[in-house]
Amino acid sequence: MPERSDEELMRAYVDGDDAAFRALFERYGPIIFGMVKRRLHDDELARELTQQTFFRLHGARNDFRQGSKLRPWLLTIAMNLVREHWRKKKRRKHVDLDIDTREAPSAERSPLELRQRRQMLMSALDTLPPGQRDVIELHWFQERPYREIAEIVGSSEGAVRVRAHRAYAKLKEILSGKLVG
Amino acid sequence: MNASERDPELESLLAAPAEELPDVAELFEGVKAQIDAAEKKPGYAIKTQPTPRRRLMAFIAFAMVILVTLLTGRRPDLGSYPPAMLVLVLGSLGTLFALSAWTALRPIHRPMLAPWKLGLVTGVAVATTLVLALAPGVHDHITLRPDMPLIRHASPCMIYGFVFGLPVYGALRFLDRGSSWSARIVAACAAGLAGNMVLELHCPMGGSTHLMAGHASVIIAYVGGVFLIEALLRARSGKR
Repeated sequence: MPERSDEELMRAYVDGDDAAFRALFERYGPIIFGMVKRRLHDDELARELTQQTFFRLHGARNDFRQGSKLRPWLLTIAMNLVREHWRKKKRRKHVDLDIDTREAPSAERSPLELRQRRQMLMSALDTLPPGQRDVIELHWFQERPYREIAEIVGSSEGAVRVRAHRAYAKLKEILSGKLVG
Repeated sequence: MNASERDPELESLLAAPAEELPDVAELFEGVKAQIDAAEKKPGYAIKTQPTPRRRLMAFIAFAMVILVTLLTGRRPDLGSYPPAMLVLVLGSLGTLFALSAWTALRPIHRPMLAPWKLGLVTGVAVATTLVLALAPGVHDHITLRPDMPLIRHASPCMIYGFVFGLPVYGALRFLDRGSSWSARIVAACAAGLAGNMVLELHCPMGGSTHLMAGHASVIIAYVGGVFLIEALLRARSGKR
């Protein structure tokens, strides 16, 4: 049996099929969790906001219409929750780690090296302004097209492309510098 | 095409090790528990109504406030109020009210309101009430002037307008599905604008001092109050 699309599952859920909601959660829960954790660097908060995202989706389900797309909905709800969290906290938590970059990484990385690499990437991402950070999250990690990203962040496609270009350039400069040492 | 423009070096730099995934079943049980708890609350079913219906409910709350004012507290000189001025004042305030209320019930799957848009909505709402209070020609037809100290003639109007704005603020907050700061601010704008419209239909007193201190102050009280509460809550959460 072919897998049901996001929109088919959402419409089934709106019509009262609870199993469809579970299927959507299984499909998108890990994605939302990963996205939120990359932004907040906190496992517990990521779990909380992931649950809150789907709770809000449940509350807003009667707004889901023919032609609506679920993924932008979920990503926008999650990003709004992250923004609201940062607004309350007033400042962002930065992950910084001095990494010994003198040795070239081996083909097989230890868990410590993998964790360091992840934290180095998070640290670099944290240097980006919030608007660029959102675009990189959606374009690189979520692999969304610019048109959809523009819809999610509430901007024009042109502005999103500019932010992406600047962000990628800055990331390349930072990460190249960190790895070369 | 990917914005990295298929830059192998950049793609290599950005390749992140996979995140450790949570226990999906356990997370889902948490969501179900939240939903079950929320659905037991009396008003939750109303919050989940489609957005057009929620906006209609907010408008009905506003219409009730205006109706009560006209039935129980209509200004005695309403019959002699120049129609063009009445349309100008109520039309301006009403249009801004509609915009604020519409924005306050913005669907949560839409991006959060940008700070500059929030500032624009708030600024225009406050500025309009001030301009309407001060602009020459708008309220010149009102001959009744206060002959008592400011606090005595302004505070009853301010309280009246504030109290009549409360059902509007309450309705907008109750119907809101999220709890963003921007939604609270524009709800405060809407309540302040509704309070000003009520006062325009209720209070026969003129003079820029009275109109500023007793009428325009209502929206300033609402918006300023929300800002103050937010600042206090943030200061409190920062101390923990």
